[in-house]
This record gives sequence, C-alpha cells and structure tokens, in this order.
Amino acid sequence: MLAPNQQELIAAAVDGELSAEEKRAAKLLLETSPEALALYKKLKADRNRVRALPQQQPPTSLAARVMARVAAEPVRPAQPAPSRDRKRISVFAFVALAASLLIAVTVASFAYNNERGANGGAAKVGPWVRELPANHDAPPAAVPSPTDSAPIEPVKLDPFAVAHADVSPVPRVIESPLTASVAVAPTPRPLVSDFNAAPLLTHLKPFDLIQARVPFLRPVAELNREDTRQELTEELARDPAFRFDLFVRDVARGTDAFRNAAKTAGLNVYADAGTLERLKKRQSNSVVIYTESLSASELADLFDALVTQDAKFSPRVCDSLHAVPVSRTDETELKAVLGFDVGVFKRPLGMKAGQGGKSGAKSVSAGTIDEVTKALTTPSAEKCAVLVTWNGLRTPPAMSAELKTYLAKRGDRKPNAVPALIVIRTAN
Amino acid sequence: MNDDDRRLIADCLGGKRDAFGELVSRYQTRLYNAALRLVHSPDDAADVVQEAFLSAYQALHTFKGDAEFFTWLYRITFNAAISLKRKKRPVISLDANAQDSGFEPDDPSEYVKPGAGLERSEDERRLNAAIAKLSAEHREVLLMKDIDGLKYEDIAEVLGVPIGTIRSRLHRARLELRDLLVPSEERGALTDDPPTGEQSGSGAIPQPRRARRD
Repeated sequence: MLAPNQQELIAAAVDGELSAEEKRAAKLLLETSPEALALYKKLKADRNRVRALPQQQPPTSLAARVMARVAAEPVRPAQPAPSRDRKRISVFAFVALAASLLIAVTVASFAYNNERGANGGAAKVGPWVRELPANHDAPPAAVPSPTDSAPIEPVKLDPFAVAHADVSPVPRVIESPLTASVAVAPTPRPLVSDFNAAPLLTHLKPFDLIQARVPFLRPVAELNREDTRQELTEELARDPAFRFDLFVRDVARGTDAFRNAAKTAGLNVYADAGTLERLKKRQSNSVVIYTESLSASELADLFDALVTQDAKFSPRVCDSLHAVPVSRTDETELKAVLGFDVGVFKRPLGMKAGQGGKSGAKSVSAGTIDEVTKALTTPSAEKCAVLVTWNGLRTPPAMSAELKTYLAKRGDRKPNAVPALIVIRTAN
Repeated sequence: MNDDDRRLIADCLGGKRDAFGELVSRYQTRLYNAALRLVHSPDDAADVVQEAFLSAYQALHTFKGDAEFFTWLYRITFNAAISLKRKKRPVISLDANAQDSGFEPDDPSEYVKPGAGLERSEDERRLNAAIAKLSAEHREVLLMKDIDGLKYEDIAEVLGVPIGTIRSRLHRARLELRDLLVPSEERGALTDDPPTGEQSGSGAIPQPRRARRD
C-alpha cells in the first residue's frame, strides 16, 4: 500500500509539476514499486481521457460581438503607465529642479546685491539697518569675531527698544536718515566670479530662424471659404498623397453627408455593403474612402460640397478636417484594407520625383507633353472611390463586390491626381 | 508567452484592433468552456467571455508578459464569472426557505444534467458522470488543470489558495476520480451493455444530485 505522500508525488508527476529533487524521488519510486507504476499509469490515462473530452463550441457570433464592443471603445488601449520607479524618479527630478532653481535664485540675488553694494555707496547701508538701534558699546570695526580670542563684552540690550524690520516689498521712504544711529556694515568681500556667481544669460547666441510646417486643420464649416480653399489647394501641391481625417459626431451620418457631397462633386463612391451594414448597426467607428481620381482643386471642390451637405443636418455632423501627407504606416494599413497595394507614392508616367503635381522645372520630351495633355484634356473616365471599414471588423477584400467593381473601373491615375485617403471618424 | 501572442499584443497596443480580433479567435473557445463550467448557462458564458475580452482590451497595457496571455485572460474571465454569479444570486425569502428546509437545490452543472450525457459516447458519458460526482472544489481544480491547462501557481492565484493546497486537492481529486471510474468500468466490462436509465443507482447515468455546501 502506497503512503499518502507517495500517492501525492505520483499525482504531481502526472501533473508534470515536480521539482528536480521530486523528479528523482518519483523516478526511484516508479522503478522500485510496481504498485506505484500501476497507479501512475492509471492516473495518467485518466488525465488523458479528461483532456480528450470534447469542448463546447462558443456561439458563432461571439467573436463578432466582442469586436463590436471593442470597436465601440472610444480610445485605443492605453499606453503603459509610468512605472512606480519612473514616478519616483520624476518626483525626485522635480524636487531637484526646484532646489536648483532656489539655489540659483539665491546665489544670483546675493551676487546682484553684492555688486550693487560694490558700485553704489548708498547700497552699503541696507534699508533695515537704518532702523536698527546702533550698538554704541563697540565701534563697527571692532565687531567681535567668533574666532577672536579677545574677551567679548556683554551687549547691553535695552529691553524697551524695538527693532523694526522692513518686510514690505516697497522700501519705506525715510524722510530723515538717522545717520547718527546707523551702524555701518563692513566692506563687502570682493565678488569672486565663479560658476555659481557668474552673470546669467550674457552669452546667448541669437535664435536661429526655424520654419515649421503646420498641418492643415480647419473646421468643416470653413472649407467653402475662398482663402481656406486656396490654402488647401496649396497644401495638396506639397506632397504626392494625402490622408484626410474628417472628424464627425456620428460616423454613419458623416458618411451619408460625405457620399452626398461626393455625388454632387461627380465622384462615384463604391461603398462596401458589409461596411454600410455595420455602420447602420453602429458596429463601425471609422471608415475610409480611397480615391485617386481627383486633383487638388477637385478635392477642394469636394470638401466645399461637403459644407453644403453638412448644413442640411441639424445639428451639423462634421466637425473638422485634418490633412497630412500619407505616411508609410497609412500605406501599409491601406494595403491591408484594400487587399492590394495601390501605390500611393508611385507617380504616373510622365512625372518625375519631386514635381509633386506641379509643373516641372525640367524640360520634357514632346511625347511626354502630348501624353500629359491628352490625359488632361480627354474626357476622363469615371471618377471613382471606394468606401470600406478602416478600424474594426472588415469585410475581407476578396469578399467585397464593391471593391472589385472599383478595381475594374479605377483605370490609370491622372498626372495631376492626388491620391487621397479620407478617414471618417469620431472626434474623440 | 509565445511570440505570436507577443506580436499581436504589441500590434494591438499600437492601435491595430484586428490584432485583438486574432487573439479573440485564438482563445474564445477555451475561455467559453471555462466560463460555461462556472456559470452553467451558454448565454451567461458568452456574456462573461465578452465582458472578459473587453476588460482585457481596456487593460492590455497592464499585461506585463511574465505569464501566459491565456492565463491572464483566464483570471479575468474567472473574476467576470464570479461577478455575474453574485449579481444573479437569487434572493429567497426566509418563508420560502422554511417550506423547503432540508432540501437543497439540484446542481445545475452541465455534467449532471439528465439526458445531456446520452448524446455523448459511452466512455465520455462515464467520465462525465464521474467528474460530476467529484466535490465542487476537486472538480474545479481537476478541470482547471487538465482541460484549461493551468499550472499549479496559476490555479492557486485564481482561487486565492496556497499552491500546496492545490497540489493536495488535485492529488485527492485524481484518486477520487479513479475510484469513481473503477466500478463503472468493471461493470461495463462484465455486462458489456451500455447502462440504461434504470441502472442509475451506481452513477452510470448522470443524475441530478444535491449540491454540496462549501
């Protein structure tokens, strides 16, 4: 009969949770005791049978429900909070900074006052010493030093004398200086120009001129203003492709407004049916419209039309428009969404790198000019765009009929077209 | 933690929600089964898993990666299931209790529902019947270990008991399960007939049983 601790050892061996020492003990036990070996085999067989029990399948909609809840979350998972150590360090850093500032101010103040004292005779006598009772018992030159071995005569204090210290920030006006009763302070020590007492901010170089490019960010309501249109058009000429973030209060209604505007502007938007369904069910919190059929001025027209369409909603749905050059991350994400690489950074034939949609500075061949002219003057093919889900559950690209239609009608990109990702999303 | 999980978590923290969808697909079945054993209702289990995944998404940045991601999810699911059970705890008046004094409610576990086992194979049915006869705490640790694949220390953390207790409970659970399986297997070998509903006395058919008071 196996002892309880031996049985427990065998059970732990079945669980695969033995220390090195226990492993050796278990091995020895199994080698020497047929009873232990038989129990081990039975328990292991039981474990395998339990493991082989069939699992219940979760509802097929469970993953979709989870992702719908996740998509409805207004924010991404928060970034890691600073660790406790980092917090502690930051507190210490703050205290150290405050202490440094205090010391710097004190030293600078001391240096300043010393300098004033050295330059102006009036400053030798501080405002407060004028009101302190003079020590008539000892001349100023004989101020006893703590290290002086000479006997110190006791100071006779007048118990009724009152010392007035001027604590007001505004120096009190002394109408008649009491020079007779003023004790003259000893001559200040010469100022040593060391690091701590160095004059502050005397050798600063003049500031360099820096030009910063501010992203285009305007309220949608202003997009029909001529100056804003001009600004947008100029901005779009600076880079080959742009991402627009259209912040709206409600993605479904914002998408409706945008589609109406696109219709007005002559842009045919192929909207993925699955995306529209999810929008209707409030399961999608952002969609993307991709088009490479519009020039900079046509994009400005599109957003102009959006202002009109947005005004039909009460209250307005669209909030603001943010335009930035397309990044590599956006390009990768767009590739995942559409299932193929549209090549947002690829330039159409006849354009060189660096032209950015503007007329080139270099000479081009006659054939190229003809090609570009033909492309610009020939009645264009359909201006089209595709609308799919940006974040959240997406329709697989191969399953979207609308995406396939868009691909069929997309055609070649015009030389002056600006590839645009227009992400419609909520403002928070 | 395996590299796939690590990559998906990093992608998710970088803003890719699809990466979290991949994690959901990967672990939903195991978590659903774990939740089902705790709340005994498919609908409640689905709700628990849904809440657990949402909580995990919101707290993903706090996951340090020093344990398996599934273990972390499991703890969240377990806590969500306990919360749900507390919320759904029925309020019974003292009068109602007085009438039923001495009669405990049936164990609603999936493993003891009559008829549920009939659809399973004979071996599974015997095994399920034996598991159903285990005490609640033995059954809990046995299934956490064998089906959910948790380690001693993870089970100990989820249940809030020392590791030694888990080891001891598992040892007793295995021996108890062995004892429960032996008579039915011996009888099955002798008769070679599948037991019917009339043979329920020996525990071959899962029967509603009285819940143990913990």
